Amino acid sequence: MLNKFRRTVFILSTLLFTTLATTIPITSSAQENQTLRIAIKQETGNLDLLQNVSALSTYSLIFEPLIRYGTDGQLQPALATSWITSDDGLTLSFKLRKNVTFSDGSPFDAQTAKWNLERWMGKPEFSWIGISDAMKSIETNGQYDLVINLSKPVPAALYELTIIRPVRFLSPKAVDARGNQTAPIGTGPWVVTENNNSRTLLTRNKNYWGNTPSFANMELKVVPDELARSNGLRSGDLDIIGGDWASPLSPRRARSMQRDPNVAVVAEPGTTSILLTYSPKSPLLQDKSVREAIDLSLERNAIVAIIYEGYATATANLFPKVIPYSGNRNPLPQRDIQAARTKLEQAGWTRSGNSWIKDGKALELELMVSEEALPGSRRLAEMIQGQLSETGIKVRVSSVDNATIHDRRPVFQYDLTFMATYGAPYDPHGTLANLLLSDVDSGPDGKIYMSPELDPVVRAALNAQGAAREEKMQAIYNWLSENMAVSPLVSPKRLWAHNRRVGSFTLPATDYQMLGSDVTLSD
Amino acid sequence: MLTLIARRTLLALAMILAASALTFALIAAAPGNVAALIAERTAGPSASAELVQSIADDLGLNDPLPVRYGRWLSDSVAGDFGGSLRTGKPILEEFAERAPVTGLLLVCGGAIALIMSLTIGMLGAISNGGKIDSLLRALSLAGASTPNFFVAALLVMLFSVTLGWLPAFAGSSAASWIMPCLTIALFPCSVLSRVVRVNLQEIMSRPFATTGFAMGYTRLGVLTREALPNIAVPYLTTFGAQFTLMIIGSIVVETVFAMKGIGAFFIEAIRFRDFISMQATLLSFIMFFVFVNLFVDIICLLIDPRIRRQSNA
Amino acid sequence: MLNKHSLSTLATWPWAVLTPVLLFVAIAIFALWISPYDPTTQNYSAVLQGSSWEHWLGTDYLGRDLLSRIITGAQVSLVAMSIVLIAALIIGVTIGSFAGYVGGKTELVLISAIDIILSLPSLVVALAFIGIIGPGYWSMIAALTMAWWANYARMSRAVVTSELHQPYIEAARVMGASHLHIFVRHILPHVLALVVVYASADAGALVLAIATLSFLGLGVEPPTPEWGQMLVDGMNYLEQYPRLVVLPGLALTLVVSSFNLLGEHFALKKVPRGLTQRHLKILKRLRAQEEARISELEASA
Repeated sequence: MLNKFRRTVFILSTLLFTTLATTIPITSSAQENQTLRIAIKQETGNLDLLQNVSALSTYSLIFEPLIRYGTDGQLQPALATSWITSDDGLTLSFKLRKNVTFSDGSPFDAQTAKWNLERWMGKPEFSWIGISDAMKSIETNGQYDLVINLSKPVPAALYELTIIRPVRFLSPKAVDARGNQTAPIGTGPWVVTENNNSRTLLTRNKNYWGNTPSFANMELKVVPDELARSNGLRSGDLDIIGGDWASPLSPRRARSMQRDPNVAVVAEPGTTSILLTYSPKSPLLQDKSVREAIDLSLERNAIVAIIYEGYATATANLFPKVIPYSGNRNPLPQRDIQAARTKLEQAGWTRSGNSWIKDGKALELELMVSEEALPGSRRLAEMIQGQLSETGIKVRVSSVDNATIHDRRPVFQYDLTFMATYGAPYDPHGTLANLLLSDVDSGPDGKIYMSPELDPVVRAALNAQGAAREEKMQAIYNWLSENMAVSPLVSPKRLWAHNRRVGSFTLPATDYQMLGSDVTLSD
Repeated sequence: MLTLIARRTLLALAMILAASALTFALIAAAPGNVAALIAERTAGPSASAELVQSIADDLGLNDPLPVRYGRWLSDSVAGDFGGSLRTGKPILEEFAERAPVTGLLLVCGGAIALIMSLTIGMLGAISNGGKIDSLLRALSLAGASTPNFFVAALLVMLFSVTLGWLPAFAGSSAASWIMPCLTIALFPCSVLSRVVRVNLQEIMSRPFATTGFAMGYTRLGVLTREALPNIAVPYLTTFGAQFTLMIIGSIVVETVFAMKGIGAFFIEAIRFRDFISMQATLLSFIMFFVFVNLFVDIICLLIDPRIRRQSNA
Repeated sequence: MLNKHSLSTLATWPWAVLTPVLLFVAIAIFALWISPYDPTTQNYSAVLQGSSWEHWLGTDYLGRDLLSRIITGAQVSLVAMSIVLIAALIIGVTIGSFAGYVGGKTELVLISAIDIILSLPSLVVALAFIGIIGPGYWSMIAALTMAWWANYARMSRAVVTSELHQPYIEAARVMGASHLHIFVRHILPHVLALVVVYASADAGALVLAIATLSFLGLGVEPPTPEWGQMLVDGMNYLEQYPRLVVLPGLALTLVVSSFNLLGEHFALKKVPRGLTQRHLKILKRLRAQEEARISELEASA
């Protein structure tokens, strides 16, 4: 009996002690508070600048380009302080920034810049970059002058130099004998100290030439699940989530998080568009009136409200306004079921019950979607199915996995599907060249539309310089509208969220990057 | 006894042969020619008939079915399942990555089901017709009727959304395994607890139980000392069956919690109509089912006193 | 077979366990009349509403009435289930009876094939078939039929084999009745009596399988409301509108458990007396088969 009593006392006292120990606030050290924790959807990878395997957004913390893409699409000096393009467009001259060192101490100068550029320029695997395809020679002139000579003008050359990979600069000491990258050593504000499949740790680059970050460390935590990320933010395990490439935040979650006082949701106009595209090989969609009838049946504002929870803008343009050379704004078409039906009747379709028939064939289309390729697209498809059914156009939604959609897109095994433009800094030239030119291999991305008539229009615009560029670009957009080649639906907003530990917060210039310039921690 | 086990093993091997032959024949008869599928992936839908033919020759698809089956089986036994039509990766590599995930899920789920079902079954037997017994009976009926994807959704709702205790997906942390294991364990646990309960009831009405009571044992004492060993054979047989059925659970659970296991691989192969991966996965499933059953059979042989006595004679 | 005696025992049978199943069937049959709205009509001005007089169970993310979708979902499940059950019964009873009646090597081959199919869980068999023939509503029906018939075939064969030994069959044969006549008049009723009772309890598992396939995106296609699919679509709204997940899940669980309740009563031999009393022995014999095999092996060892 006594024994039992003793045991009970012991257990109770242990319990009491543990409770006390955990409730007494642990004074946190200043060091610990200076770590900013950001979620990433997948592990960073080896950060090799020439391999297409690592997560894009992490590169931007470590590696810097010559020119930076600014928030409003303006070009800003980075490792180059100024640049001049010759009148014929064949020579690009750069003045490089002085007193810049890589985080391993080696200096950045014209020689290292040339060595870096020659690692990829002119190589067949980088021919998708215009400036690489057209590169003739790279010259250095003294320690801080760099000249790139081109065989033909590349109007988008300066924008191409702002992308993430492969254009950024690596320390010449961070390669092995065969020239393969051995470590991620750049000139940027952050240095990698630990990198594995559950997190990437970075520490401040003390010798950074620009404004050094106000906090000492950064932890990129791998959290693949979207719900888990938002829970992590609310519980305080994470400070920042968001971005299409870092750790996407769904509109649904953003909306429900807005009611949480401990969390701030930041939504800013995005640089991509979501498109409903028509397969150029679909027999039924060869008929322009069918495409027009589909476009007239769409109710874009409802898509914005329901699928995007208001975090998007309905659009009839291929590119959002923030993209350079994105053309005149098209008026948003109003939904008109009657007009859609008239279009079909005029094109020789006859109504039978709630469907349309022509030459014994019913108007039934397959809409191919993949939730993995574009989150929310299954519900979007269901919605469009409902909208088109009011006109009498039958839509079969086939929901496939990511691999299947990437397989069927390039061979046009669908009638309708959703696509997204690439967004800044790749646009407009990236989307136009890859997704509209029939003879450019766009791999699994497929094509928005393809036509022998469209190719010369696009090519003319991509090669146009100066004032002509704007006009030629507009010609593409006009062609697309006149031929009803694609139905742009919405331009989603960029969604990020942070907790109250984060003092000031700005978005990075594009979602391919990780961190805005003015992010601070408040405690 | 050894001959008995050898006989069982032979029977199991024959079963694997027959079942794999049947799946092989069915998949070979599937509409959609594997060679054409591969050709389409490399050359687009305009792949020429010659290309299709040459791929078919390379793969030996023009040989008679039994020859192809023999080759496939011997390659598979040697560990060469071929490459996935979807990813191009060797299937063995996929299996090596994914088998530990499914294995851990099945083992943890099985362990939970084992412990919980014995506890619940015993509680029911102790209560014997009381309120707890009826409640447990209703619960096990509900447990056996709730789809596991609904269970998963409810758990996520409670532990991830409302309480924020557990991550809503499987990651590297141990906590992320709790919900998947609980989900997969619920169905076998419900069925097994009924088996325990029903068999215990039957056994407790036998004379030796009465003798036990007469000897002054409590109900719990009689249950654990006398009755429990006696239900081992029916329990283990059902456990084996339920353990194999957990493969279905793993398919759903791995999909819901975004786990990279064999079940998810099977679904991906089906969505993509990746016949080579499907064949390989089905063969591994068949082997799993047959071997689990064989294992249970042998254990039952070893512990069942009737059979033991017979074989010693 | 129904006489006054069996009618009186029917009255004492706990019909209460049948009520939920009958309720489900009634809802499914009258779905068109009792659902207040068209289940696929989208109404963007009334999305994600809570319960109200207009929408008793609220609306989903496209403004579709949830009650109507759940009711229509019952119909979709019942129709798909019935097609599969009837098809599986026809195929299973035909093949099983044929095997049992003919006997010999044919029986051995057929029963081996049946055993192989039964060695795999039904849903895995169904998934494999969907992989072969591709996804879609009718693929799902076909795949589930292929996965489900074997059970009925095995059962039918067992009934036929046991009935063939009954003296009255011998008598009929002596009197010169044809095989077909003997089978249809004397054996088939016994087969059907047992198989139908078994099937009515098996229906729950089938409803579950249909929902699981749709949940995995391999079954019923949108916009047809199906519980498994409604649940997976509702997962996006789990935080704020758990209703979208809980209601279809609950409907599914209720239907499956009412069928399982029925099955449990059959297992406890509370089958309407006179209808199938004799055939329950066969069910029992089937269950005892494992034990029989063990003793067989004992003897050989």
